[in-house]
Amino acid sequence: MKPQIQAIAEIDRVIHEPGRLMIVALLYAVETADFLYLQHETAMNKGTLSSHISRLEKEGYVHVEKTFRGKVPQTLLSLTRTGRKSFEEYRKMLKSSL
Amino acid sequence: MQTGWRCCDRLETEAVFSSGGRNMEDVQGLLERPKLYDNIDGSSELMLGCMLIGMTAFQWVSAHARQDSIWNKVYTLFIFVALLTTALIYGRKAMKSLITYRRTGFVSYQKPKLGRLGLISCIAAAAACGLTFLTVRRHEIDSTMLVMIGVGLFMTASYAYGVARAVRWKWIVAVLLLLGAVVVAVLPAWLTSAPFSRSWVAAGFNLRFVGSLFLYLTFYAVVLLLSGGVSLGIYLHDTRHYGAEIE
Repeated sequence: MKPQIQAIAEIDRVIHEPGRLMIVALLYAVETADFLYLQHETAMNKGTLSSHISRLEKEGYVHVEKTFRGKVPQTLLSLTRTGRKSFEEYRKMLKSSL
Repeated sequence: MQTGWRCCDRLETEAVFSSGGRNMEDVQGLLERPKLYDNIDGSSELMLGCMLIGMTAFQWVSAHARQDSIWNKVYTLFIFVALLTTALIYGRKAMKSLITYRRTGFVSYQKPKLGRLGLISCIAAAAACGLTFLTVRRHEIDSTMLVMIGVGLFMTASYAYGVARAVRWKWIVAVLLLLGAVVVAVLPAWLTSAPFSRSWVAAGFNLRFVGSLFLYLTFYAVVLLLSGGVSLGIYLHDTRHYGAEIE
Protein backbone atom coordinates (compact mmCIF):
# COMPACT_ATOMS: atom_id res chain seq x y z
CA MET A 1 0.00 0.00 0.00
CA LYS A 2 1.29 3.47 -0.88
CA PRO A 3 2.27 5.54 2.19
CA GLN A 4 -0.22 8.27 1.22
CA ILE A 5 -3.12 5.81 1.17
CA GLN A 6 -1.84 4.28 4.38
CA ALA A 7 -1.95 7.77 5.92
CA ILE A 8 -5.62 8.16 4.97
CA ALA A 9 -6.44 4.88 6.67
CA GLU A 10 -4.72 6.04 9.84
CA ILE A 11 -6.61 9.33 10.12
CA ASP A 12 -8.19 9.92 13.55
CA ARG A 13 -11.87 9.13 12.96
CA VAL A 14 -13.01 10.85 16.12
CA ILE A 15 -11.74 14.20 14.85
CA HIS A 16 -12.46 13.44 11.20
CA GLU A 17 -16.24 13.69 11.61
CA PRO A 18 -17.21 17.20 10.31
CA GLY A 19 -19.14 18.29 13.40
CA ARG A 20 -16.39 17.23 15.77
CA LEU A 21 -13.72 18.70 13.49
CA MET A 22 -15.43 22.08 13.75
CA ILE A 23 -15.51 21.85 17.52
CA VAL A 24 -11.88 20.76 17.85
CA ALA A 25 -10.63 23.37 15.34
CA LEU A 26 -12.51 26.17 17.09
CA LEU A 27 -11.25 25.09 20.50
CA TYR A 28 -7.69 24.68 19.21
CA ALA A 29 -7.50 28.42 18.51
CA VAL A 30 -8.63 29.47 22.00
CA GLU A 31 -7.87 28.72 25.61
CA THR A 32 -11.50 28.23 26.66
CA ALA A 33 -14.88 28.73 25.04
CA ASP A 34 -18.37 28.14 26.32
CA PHE A 35 -21.18 26.01 24.95
CA LEU A 36 -23.10 29.03 23.66
CA TYR A 37 -20.13 30.16 21.55
CA LEU A 38 -19.78 26.73 19.93
CA GLN A 39 -23.52 26.59 19.34
CA HIS A 40 -23.45 30.03 17.73
CA GLU A 41 -20.46 29.22 15.52
CA THR A 42 -21.43 25.72 14.44
CA ALA A 43 -25.21 26.22 14.16
CA MET A 44 -25.71 22.77 15.68
CA ASN A 45 -28.62 22.22 18.00
CA LYS A 46 -27.98 21.57 21.68
CA GLY A 47 -28.49 17.82 21.45
CA THR A 48 -26.13 17.27 18.53
CA LEU A 49 -23.48 19.53 20.00
CA SER A 50 -23.75 17.82 23.39
CA SER A 51 -23.36 14.37 21.86
CA HIS A 52 -20.26 15.45 19.90
CA ILE A 53 -18.77 17.02 23.02
CA SER A 54 -19.51 13.88 25.05
CA ARG A 55 -17.69 11.76 22.48
CA LEU A 56 -14.69 14.09 22.50
CA GLU A 57 -14.70 14.13 26.30
CA LYS A 58 -14.86 10.33 26.39
CA GLU A 59 -11.78 10.18 24.15
CA GLY A 60 -9.98 12.60 26.45
CA TYR A 61 -9.74 15.34 23.82
CA VAL A 62 -11.94 17.92 25.51
CA HIS A 63 -12.16 19.08 29.10
CA VAL A 64 -15.64 20.10 30.22
CA GLU A 65 -16.16 22.31 33.24
CA LYS A 66 -19.57 23.22 34.61
CA THR A 67 -19.53 26.60 36.29
CA PHE A 68 -21.62 29.74 36.86
CA ARG A 69 -21.41 33.20 35.39
CA GLY A 70 -23.22 35.12 38.11
CA LYS A 71 -26.35 33.05 38.64
CA VAL A 72 -26.35 31.63 35.14
CA PRO A 73 -24.95 28.12 34.57
CA GLN A 74 -22.16 27.96 32.04
CA THR A 75 -20.31 25.08 30.41
CA LEU A 76 -16.70 25.88 29.67
CA LEU A 77 -14.80 23.76 27.17
CA SER A 78 -11.13 23.50 26.39
CA LEU A 79 -8.89 21.10 24.48
CA THR A 80 -6.74 18.81 26.59
CA ARG A 81 -3.08 18.26 25.80
CA THR A 82 -4.03 14.97 24.15
CA GLY A 83 -6.68 16.77 22.12
CA ARG A 84 -4.22 19.39 20.90
CA LYS A 85 -1.63 16.78 19.98
CA SER A 86 -4.20 14.65 18.17
CA PHE A 87 -5.48 17.62 16.20
CA GLU A 88 -1.95 18.61 15.19
CA GLU A 89 -1.28 15.04 14.04
CA TYR A 90 -4.60 14.98 12.20
CA ARG A 91 -3.69 18.16 10.31
CA LYS A 92 -0.25 16.82 9.45
CA MET A 93 -1.68 13.55 8.22
CA LEU A 94 -4.39 15.25 6.21
CA LYS A 95 -1.83 17.56 4.60
CA SER A 96 0.47 14.70 3.65
CA SER A 97 -2.30 12.55 2.23
CA LEU A 98 -3.98 15.21 0.07
CA MET B 1 -28.71 34.51 13.35
CA GLN B 2 -26.84 37.04 11.23
CA THR B 3 -24.50 39.32 13.03
CA GLY B 4 -23.40 41.52 10.19
CA TRP B 5 -20.06 39.86 9.80
CA ARG B 6 -19.22 37.29 7.19
CA CYS B 7 -17.00 35.35 9.52
CA CYS B 8 -19.80 34.84 11.94
CA ASP B 9 -22.37 33.73 9.45
CA ARG B 10 -22.85 30.38 11.09
CA LEU B 11 -20.82 27.45 9.94
CA GLU B 12 -22.74 24.70 8.30
CA THR B 13 -21.31 21.25 8.69
CA GLU B 14 -21.24 20.58 4.98
CA ALA B 15 -19.76 24.02 4.32
CA VAL B 16 -16.68 23.19 6.34
CA PHE B 17 -15.42 21.28 3.38
CA SER B 18 -15.46 22.43 -0.18
CA SER B 19 -16.10 20.40 -3.32
CA GLY B 20 -17.17 17.45 -1.26
CA GLY B 21 -13.61 16.87 -0.08
CA ARG B 22 -11.76 17.94 3.03
CA ASN B 23 -9.80 21.03 2.40
CA MET B 24 -6.91 22.23 4.56
CA GLU B 25 -7.84 25.85 3.80
CA ASP B 26 -11.23 25.29 5.39
CA VAL B 27 -9.58 23.95 8.52
CA GLN B 28 -7.27 26.97 8.53
CA GLY B 29 -10.33 29.20 8.16
CA LEU B 30 -11.87 27.56 11.21
CA LEU B 31 -8.75 28.29 13.21
CA GLU B 32 -9.00 31.98 12.30
CA ARG B 33 -12.63 32.38 13.34
CA PRO B 34 -12.17 32.79 17.10
CA LYS B 35 -9.67 35.62 16.55
CA LEU B 36 -12.11 37.44 14.30
CA TYR B 37 -14.91 36.85 16.82
CA ASP B 38 -13.18 39.29 19.15
CA ASN B 39 -14.61 42.28 17.24
CA ILE B 40 -18.05 40.83 16.50
CA ASP B 41 -19.59 43.60 18.65
CA GLY B 42 -17.31 46.36 17.37
CA SER B 43 -15.66 46.63 20.80
CA SER B 44 -12.09 46.50 19.45
CA GLU B 45 -12.77 49.43 17.14
CA LEU B 46 -14.58 51.40 19.84
CA MET B 47 -11.70 50.83 22.26
CA LEU B 48 -9.01 51.82 19.78
CA GLY B 49 -11.08 54.81 18.63
CA CYS B 50 -11.45 56.05 22.23
CA MET B 51 -7.74 55.52 22.85
CA LEU B 52 -6.77 57.55 19.78
CA ILE B 53 -9.25 60.33 20.56
CA GLY B 54 -7.82 60.49 24.08
CA MET B 55 -4.27 60.65 22.79
CA THR B 56 -4.97 63.33 20.19
CA ALA B 57 -6.88 65.36 22.79
CA PHE B 58 -3.88 65.09 25.10
CA GLN B 59 -1.59 66.15 22.26
CA TRP B 60 -3.77 69.19 21.61
CA VAL B 61 -3.95 70.22 25.27
CA SER B 62 -0.22 69.77 25.89
CA ALA B 63 0.67 71.71 22.75
CA HIS B 64 -1.56 74.63 23.70
CA ALA B 65 -0.56 74.71 27.35
CA ARG B 66 2.58 76.53 28.46
CA GLN B 67 5.73 74.54 27.74
CA ASP B 68 6.56 74.32 31.45
CA SER B 69 3.01 73.42 32.53
CA ILE B 70 1.98 70.12 34.10
CA TRP B 71 0.59 68.94 30.74
CA ASN B 72 4.09 68.83 29.33
CA LYS B 73 5.66 66.72 32.06
CA VAL B 74 6.53 63.14 31.20
CA TYR B 75 4.83 61.76 34.31
CA THR B 76 1.53 63.43 33.30
CA LEU B 77 1.62 61.52 30.03
CA PHE B 78 2.32 58.25 31.86
CA ILE B 79 -0.51 58.83 34.33
CA PHE B 80 -2.89 59.81 31.53
CA VAL B 81 -2.03 56.75 29.42
CA ALA B 82 -2.29 54.43 32.45
CA LEU B 83 -5.71 55.83 33.44
CA LEU B 84 -7.05 55.80 29.89
CA THR B 85 -5.82 52.25 29.22
CA THR B 86 -7.22 50.94 32.51
CA ALA B 87 -10.60 52.58 31.88
CA LEU B 88 -10.78 51.18 28.36
CA ILE B 89 -9.69 47.65 29.30
CA TYR B 90 -12.20 47.41 32.14
CA GLY B 91 -14.89 49.14 30.09
CA ARG B 92 -14.45 46.61 27.31
CA LYS B 93 -14.49 43.72 29.78
CA ALA B 94 -17.76 45.02 31.21
CA MET B 95 -19.23 45.38 27.74
CA LYS B 96 -18.22 41.83 26.81
CA SER B 97 -19.53 40.45 30.07
CA LEU B 98 -22.87 42.26 29.98
CA ILE B 99 -23.61 42.02 26.26
CA THR B 100 -21.47 39.72 24.11
CA TYR B 101 -20.97 36.68 26.35
CA ARG B 102 -24.69 36.54 27.06
CA ARG B 103 -25.63 36.66 23.40
CA THR B 104 -23.07 34.77 21.35
CA GLY B 105 -20.87 33.12 23.93
CA PHE B 106 -17.69 33.45 25.90
CA VAL B 107 -14.18 32.94 24.53
CA SER B 108 -10.86 33.35 26.32
CA TYR B 109 -7.76 33.55 24.18
CA GLN B 110 -4.32 32.06 24.61
CA LYS B 111 -1.57 34.45 25.58
CA PRO B 112 0.13 35.61 22.37
CA LYS B 113 3.64 34.34 21.75
CA LEU B 114 6.20 36.68 20.24
CA GLY B 115 6.90 34.77 17.06
CA ARG B 116 8.75 35.71 13.91
CA LEU B 117 5.90 37.95 12.77
CA GLY B 118 5.95 39.78 16.10
CA LEU B 119 9.68 40.32 15.86
CA ILE B 120 9.41 41.68 12.31
CA SER B 121 6.56 43.97 13.41
CA CYS B 122 8.67 45.30 16.30
CA ILE B 123 11.61 46.04 13.97
CA ALA B 124 9.28 47.70 11.43
CA ALA B 125 7.66 49.77 14.19
CA ALA B 126 11.10 50.83 15.52
CA ALA B 127 12.20 51.84 11.99
CA ALA B 128 8.95 53.77 11.49
CA CYS B 129 9.43 55.57 14.83
CA GLY B 130 13.00 56.50 13.86
CA LEU B 131 11.86 57.87 10.51
CA THR B 132 9.03 59.78 12.16
CA PHE B 133 11.41 61.28 14.71
CA LEU B 134 13.77 62.42 11.96
CA THR B 135 10.89 63.96 10.06
CA VAL B 136 9.64 65.80 13.09
CA ARG B 137 13.02 67.12 14.19
CA ARG B 138 14.59 68.13 10.91
CA HIS B 139 12.98 71.09 9.25
CA GLU B 140 15.14 70.83 6.14
CA ILE B 141 13.82 67.38 5.21
CA ASP B 142 10.11 67.63 4.67
CA SER B 143 9.08 64.16 3.70
CA THR B 144 5.71 64.59 5.40
CA MET B 145 3.76 63.47 2.37
CA LEU B 146 5.73 60.25 2.06
CA VAL B 147 5.64 59.47 5.77
CA MET B 148 1.90 60.18 6.02
CA ILE B 149 1.16 57.83 3.14
CA GLY B 150 3.39 55.23 4.84
CA VAL B 151 1.55 55.71 8.14
CA GLY B 152 -1.77 55.47 6.31
CA LEU B 153 -0.74 52.28 4.52
CA PHE B 154 0.46 50.69 7.76
CA MET B 155 -2.65 51.64 9.72
CA THR B 156 -5.00 50.61 6.93
CA ALA B 157 -3.20 47.28 6.51
CA SER B 158 -3.46 46.66 10.26
CA TYR B 159 -7.17 47.45 10.13
CA ALA B 160 -7.73 45.26 7.08
CA TYR B 161 -5.93 42.31 8.67
CA GLY B 162 -7.42 42.66 12.12
CA VAL B 163 -10.97 43.77 11.34
CA ALA B 164 -12.00 43.96 7.69
CA ARG B 165 -11.30 40.29 6.97
CA ALA B 166 -14.25 39.35 9.13
CA VAL B 167 -16.86 41.68 7.70
CA ARG B 168 -17.29 42.48 4.04
CA TRP B 169 -18.58 46.05 4.45
CA LYS B 170 -15.56 46.94 6.60
CA TRP B 171 -13.46 46.97 3.42
CA ILE B 172 -15.21 50.25 2.60
CA VAL B 173 -13.96 51.56 5.94
CA ALA B 174 -10.44 50.37 5.09
CA VAL B 175 -10.54 52.21 1.75
CA LEU B 176 -11.84 55.31 3.55
CA LEU B 177 -8.94 55.15 6.01
CA LEU B 178 -6.42 54.97 3.19
CA LEU B 179 -8.11 57.79 1.29
CA GLY B 180 -8.02 59.87 4.46
CA ALA B 181 -4.26 59.38 4.71
CA VAL B 182 -3.76 60.41 1.08
CA VAL B 183 -5.96 63.51 1.48
CA VAL B 184 -4.13 64.57 4.66
CA ALA B 185 -0.77 63.96 2.93
CA VAL B 186 -1.58 66.28 0.01
CA LEU B 187 -3.21 69.05 2.04
CA PRO B 188 -1.29 72.35 1.81
CA ALA B 189 1.19 73.02 4.60
CA TRP B 190 -0.63 76.14 5.86
CA LEU B 191 -3.74 74.05 6.46
CA THR B 192 -2.10 71.12 8.23
CA SER B 193 0.05 73.48 10.30
CA ALA B 194 -2.95 75.50 11.44
CA PRO B 195 -3.90 73.40 14.54
CA PHE B 196 -0.51 74.05 16.17
CA SER B 197 0.68 77.27 14.53
CA ARG B 198 0.12 79.34 17.70
CA SER B 199 1.55 76.81 20.10
CA TRP B 200 5.06 76.32 21.49
CA VAL B 201 5.38 73.31 19.16
CA ALA B 202 5.93 75.72 16.26
CA ALA B 203 9.36 76.66 17.62
CA GLY B 204 11.03 73.26 17.52
CA PHE B 205 9.08 70.85 15.37
CA ASN B 206 8.03 70.27 11.79
CA LEU B 207 4.56 71.78 12.08
CA ARG B 208 3.29 70.31 8.86
CA PHE B 209 4.07 66.81 10.03
CA VAL B 210 2.75 67.26 13.56
CA GLY B 211 -0.47 68.79 12.20
CA SER B 212 -0.88 66.10 9.52
CA LEU B 213 -0.42 63.32 12.06
CA PHE B 214 -2.88 64.98 14.42
CA LEU B 215 -5.49 65.36 11.67
CA TYR B 216 -5.05 61.80 10.42
CA LEU B 217 -5.19 60.21 13.87
CA THR B 218 -8.32 62.21 14.69
CA PHE B 219 -9.88 61.14 11.41
CA TYR B 220 -8.86 57.51 12.00
CA ALA B 221 -10.34 57.57 15.51
CA VAL B 222 -13.65 59.09 14.38
CA VAL B 223 -13.97 56.53 11.56
CA LEU B 224 -13.22 53.67 13.99
CA LEU B 225 -15.80 54.96 16.47
CA LEU B 226 -18.43 55.22 13.75
CA SER B 227 -17.60 51.79 12.32
CA GLY B 228 -17.54 50.21 15.79
CA GLY B 229 -20.83 51.89 16.65
CA VAL B 230 -22.47 50.54 13.50
CA SER B 231 -21.12 47.04 14.27
CA LEU B 232 -22.49 47.22 17.79
CA GLY B 233 -25.87 48.37 16.49
CA ILE B 234 -26.05 45.52 13.96
CA TYR B 235 -24.90 43.03 16.59
CA LEU B 236 -27.55 44.11 19.09
CA HIS B 237 -30.19 44.04 16.38
CA ASP B 238 -29.28 40.60 15.05
CA THR B 239 -28.61 38.67 18.26
CA ARG B 240 -30.67 38.03 21.30
CA HIS B 241 -29.96 37.75 24.99
CA TYR B 242 -29.94 34.10 25.99
CA GLY B 243 -30.35 34.81 29.73
CA ALA B 244 -30.49 31.56 31.66
CA GLU B 245 -30.00 29.43 28.56
CA ILE B 246 -26.23 29.56 28.71
CA GLU B 247 -25.40 25.90 28.97
